[in-house]
Amino acid sequence: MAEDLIERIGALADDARRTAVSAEAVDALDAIVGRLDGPVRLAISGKVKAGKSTLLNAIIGEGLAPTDAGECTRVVTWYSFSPRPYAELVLHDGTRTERPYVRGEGALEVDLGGHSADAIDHMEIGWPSSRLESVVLIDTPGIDSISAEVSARTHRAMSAEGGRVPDADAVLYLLRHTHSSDIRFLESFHDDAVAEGTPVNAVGVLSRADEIGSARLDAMTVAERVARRYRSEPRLHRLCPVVVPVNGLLGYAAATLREDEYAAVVAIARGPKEEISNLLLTADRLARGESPVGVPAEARAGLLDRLGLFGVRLSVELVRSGAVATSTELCARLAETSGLDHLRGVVLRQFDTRARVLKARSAVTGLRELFQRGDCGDGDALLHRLEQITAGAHEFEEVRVLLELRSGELSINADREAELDLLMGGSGHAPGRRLGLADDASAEEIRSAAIAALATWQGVEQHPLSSRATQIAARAATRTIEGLLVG
Amino acid sequence: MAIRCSNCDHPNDEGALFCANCNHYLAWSGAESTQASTSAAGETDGVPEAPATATDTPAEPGYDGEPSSIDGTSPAATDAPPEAPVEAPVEAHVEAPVAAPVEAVADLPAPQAAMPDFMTALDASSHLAEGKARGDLTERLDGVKKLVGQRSCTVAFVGEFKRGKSTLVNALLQTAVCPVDADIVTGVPTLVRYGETLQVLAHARHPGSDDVTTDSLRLEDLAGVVADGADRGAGELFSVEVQVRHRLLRHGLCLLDTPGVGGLDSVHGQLSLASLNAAGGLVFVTDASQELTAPELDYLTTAVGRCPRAALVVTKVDLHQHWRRIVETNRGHLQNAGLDLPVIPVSSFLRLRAARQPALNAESGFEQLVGFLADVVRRTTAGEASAVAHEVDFVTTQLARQSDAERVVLARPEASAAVLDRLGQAHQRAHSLSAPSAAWQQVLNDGIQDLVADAEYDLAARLRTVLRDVKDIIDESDPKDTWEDTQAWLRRQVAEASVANRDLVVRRANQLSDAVAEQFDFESGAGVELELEAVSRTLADLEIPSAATFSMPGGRLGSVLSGGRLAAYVPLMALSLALHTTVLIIPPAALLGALLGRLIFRMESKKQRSYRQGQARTAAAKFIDEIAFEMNKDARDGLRRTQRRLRDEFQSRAGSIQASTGAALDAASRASRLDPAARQARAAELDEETRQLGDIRDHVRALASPVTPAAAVPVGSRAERATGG
Repeated sequence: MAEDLIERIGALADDARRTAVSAEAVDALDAIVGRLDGPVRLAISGKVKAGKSTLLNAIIGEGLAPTDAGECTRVVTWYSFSPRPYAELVLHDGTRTERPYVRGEGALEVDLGGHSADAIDHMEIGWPSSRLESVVLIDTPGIDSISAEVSARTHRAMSAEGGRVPDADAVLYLLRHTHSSDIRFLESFHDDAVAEGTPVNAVGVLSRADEIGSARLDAMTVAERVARRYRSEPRLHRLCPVVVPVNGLLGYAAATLREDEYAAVVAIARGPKEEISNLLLTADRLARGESPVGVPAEARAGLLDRLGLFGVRLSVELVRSGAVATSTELCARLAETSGLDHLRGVVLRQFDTRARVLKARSAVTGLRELFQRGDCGDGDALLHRLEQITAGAHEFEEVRVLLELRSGELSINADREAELDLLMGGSGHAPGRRLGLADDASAEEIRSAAIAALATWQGVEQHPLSSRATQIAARAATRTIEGLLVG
Repeated sequence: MAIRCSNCDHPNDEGALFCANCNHYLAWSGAESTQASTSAAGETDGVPEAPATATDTPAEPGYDGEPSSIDGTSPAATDAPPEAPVEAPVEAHVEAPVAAPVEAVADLPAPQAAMPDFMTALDASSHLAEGKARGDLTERLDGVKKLVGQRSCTVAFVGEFKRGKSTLVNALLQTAVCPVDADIVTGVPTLVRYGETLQVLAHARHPGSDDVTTDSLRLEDLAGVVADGADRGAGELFSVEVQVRHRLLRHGLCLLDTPGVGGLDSVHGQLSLASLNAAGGLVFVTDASQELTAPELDYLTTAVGRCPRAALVVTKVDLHQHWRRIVETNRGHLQNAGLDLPVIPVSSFLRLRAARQPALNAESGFEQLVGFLADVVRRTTAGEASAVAHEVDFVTTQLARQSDAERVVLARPEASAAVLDRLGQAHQRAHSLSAPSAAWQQVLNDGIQDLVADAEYDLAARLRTVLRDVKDIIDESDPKDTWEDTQAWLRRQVAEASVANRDLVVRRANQLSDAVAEQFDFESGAGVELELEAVSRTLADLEIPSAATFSMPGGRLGSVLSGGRLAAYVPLMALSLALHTTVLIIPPAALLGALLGRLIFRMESKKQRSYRQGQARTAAAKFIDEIAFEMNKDARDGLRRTQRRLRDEFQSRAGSIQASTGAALDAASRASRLDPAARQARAAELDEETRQLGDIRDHVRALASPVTPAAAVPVGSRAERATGG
């Protein structure tokens, strides 16, 4: 369905290109079409030092983004798939220059070639990683940064100024702890030109989750408790309904753990119990302390950098208790604990299909502005065709209902609300998911569930006491169900 | 030289900060023992250390080296903070003494300088006043003594959410007084102070009445009460006070754990700022997971402007390998911001464990923090010492008058008629000083009236701007979408306006008390003193000069001023708590939510928009109205209290001056009738008395001189004391 829509919008853009009156308009149209065809753009955003680059590395499974204890990401950076690795600077005036880079310590170091960070709009990294094939990741400098200019660059990347279509289709918002300035920032993202407020394209990530529980062994459980509270907080729920606790560092380490690191963990775990607890008391002791366990301080410091205090404590405990016996097993356990698998699932489910709809929405917004400005010949006719496309697109309607529902504008009883959220694709677009069935539900089960749901929503639609907004939403629901039944 | 621990008598290496045996903070020990030895040379007994909680009250159990554990149980051997909310008894014996880092020692005050003993001077002058049957003066000195006993020094712990403020307070005391949780945040300020028995008091105010109720709680229940958003029953809780018997707190140190500030523009941020005026010190808490952020630095800069004795504490260094780099970066940020603060990295986790293993103290970094707190207490004490010195100065001046007059008559019998005449005039003037028609009374009454009017006008002007802005905001958008944000914005603005208004009141009240003091001094100086000076001048050629000719640094005016302020002293935080009440007691959500029900939000029709806007405007106006009403009432009550206090204070001074001139007149006329032999004996007596007075004043002057009066009393806290209570 979404493919049809994208095709039709693409065709309209092509027609407009033929009648475009200026070179700029052609460029703009090309950009829109390119965006439509390209992979979904996922921005990773959040406060300074929230662990954005670490999470990005964990998602790619390679240490591309530089990470550091200080504040280190100063320029908005795009990571996309390319068979040939390259690094390119895009300045504010649109000029692009390819820059040489070195890969030191795993992270990419790009030579900015004397350009100050202020002059750079963003940097594009092309990398032959299979995980980048379906997604473009945008790494942003944190907000609340000491340098006001860094914060300004982030806001520019996240929200559209002057009617520009925003760079990102969806956003992973890294929360460390909610407070006023975090929520304000989410709002600024939602205030952009694509859609006025989109709780449909943001996923909250409770990052550095291990620190919430002071790196104790139960830290991730504590983090899950915090995430649960966030999800149930109405104000936050309206901005990003899904919050997942993630320990990015651990996730990255799990993807890239080396045998020598595993050996170090094992060596520590074999030490006497007293000695282990003494060593793991603080980060300083682990990284610098004298210890009879057969691992030199340097190696221990390296391990701490890679896994974090929580990661080391957990790994040692897992090895010591015999829960894991090989490095592969350890990696699997670490990946599971890190919450990264869970996050990946959520992103795939939520954004994979919806991303195309969202991209189409971005394109429509961009085209509408272009046409209204009259840069493409007969603006009115083009606008008319655009309206035809959007009016007939049930995908847009679904996203709109979902948006209304999640932002609390649509009043509907709580059971129906959850049901409607699922139907509109809130947890994934597979028919089973939409109907709230298990992933392995048979075609027959799906069919009978759909028929039952159809009756319910038709009832809601025709009920005399339903408000007009509810009726419209119910109509969308019945149409979705009809689509499911048709196949 | 080994430092002997005053708590357990264990000898510690020189330079150690905590007792290696019992974990007692040794700087206090040093102060106590040194003070004891110096005052032993004096004549007083039982005054081992002046500014310790009034030594003549039985407030010092466990002081004489008895182990001060209330119960004998050792904290459970878990990672959790010790359960027992008492001074954690420590049984582990560690052979190696605590090795203190050299730099930490350098930052510490010399223990001897920490506590100047002005109690000796107070007692001596009280003794003299008693001899002269001047009940008014002994009463005055008793009042000062009592205040010195109650003296406290509050250090506020301020910072963003979840930086470990409550844990830091717990770790300092090594007891679990502040509830901590990985998720829940502290919602109300918690004041931890010294108390003989463990006590938890919750101060709440009930909407629609002035009553502040104080409930006693069990410590276990505290967590449920202070948590942000917790159900607090009918009343609106605005602060919690925990009294603990702890060595660190015995010298008047109070720790104020504040809710996370959430940025400079949040309500809590503003209120925490307001409370800083009354604080002796500020500990800004950040953690080692990241460098200072822009909002933190902004907040810190503003906060330091209000409370210059500040330190930046970086917590959680046990969790982060690269904390040294974070600390260095933070130093850089502070330097760029032009802030000269100590940066203290600490691990609360280790400090809590140090309750069982004192050897961990060195690793926890708390030595430097305790050193900073000791310094804050020392400086506050020094400031108060100067105020007390001025009070003693006032009393001795009054006493000197009487003996001076007598000495003049004895030395120059031929001039006695003229002297008596002048003394009569001085007495007359002193009398008019205490009359209701005295000019200082006029200044005070007029000033308070003006101030009340100005405060109300100022608040009205500020709130009107807020109201206009909020109406614009409401008109621009649909309250259906923006009401929550508008509410939050409105609340912040009102808090900001309230704090600014309260600042103005405090500043102006301060100025007024200065003006009254100046007028009083002018009247008494121009009238009484000139007459007496003429008398005293004739003593210039005598061997022992008049004690009254010594003048305090800061002059006589300084004497009256500081004395007035000390007497107007009220328990800290009184004013800022009043502000907390006013702004927090009226939650706009409750007030506004009632008006704009969910139903109205749900109405979709476009027609409803203007209706909603109207509702929102009314709600905002009503909220502001309510705030203005409460604030004005608070301000007026506070100023009336100030007026009464200032009037009583100066009235009593006028009374003392009048009594002095009266006594001088009597003594002089009695002396003029003595026979020559009796004169000789009397003159010798008087010389001795004058010498004693001179000694006291010398002593007091020495105590006060290192700190000039202007710098001694922290700015703001004076008026705080004048206005609050």
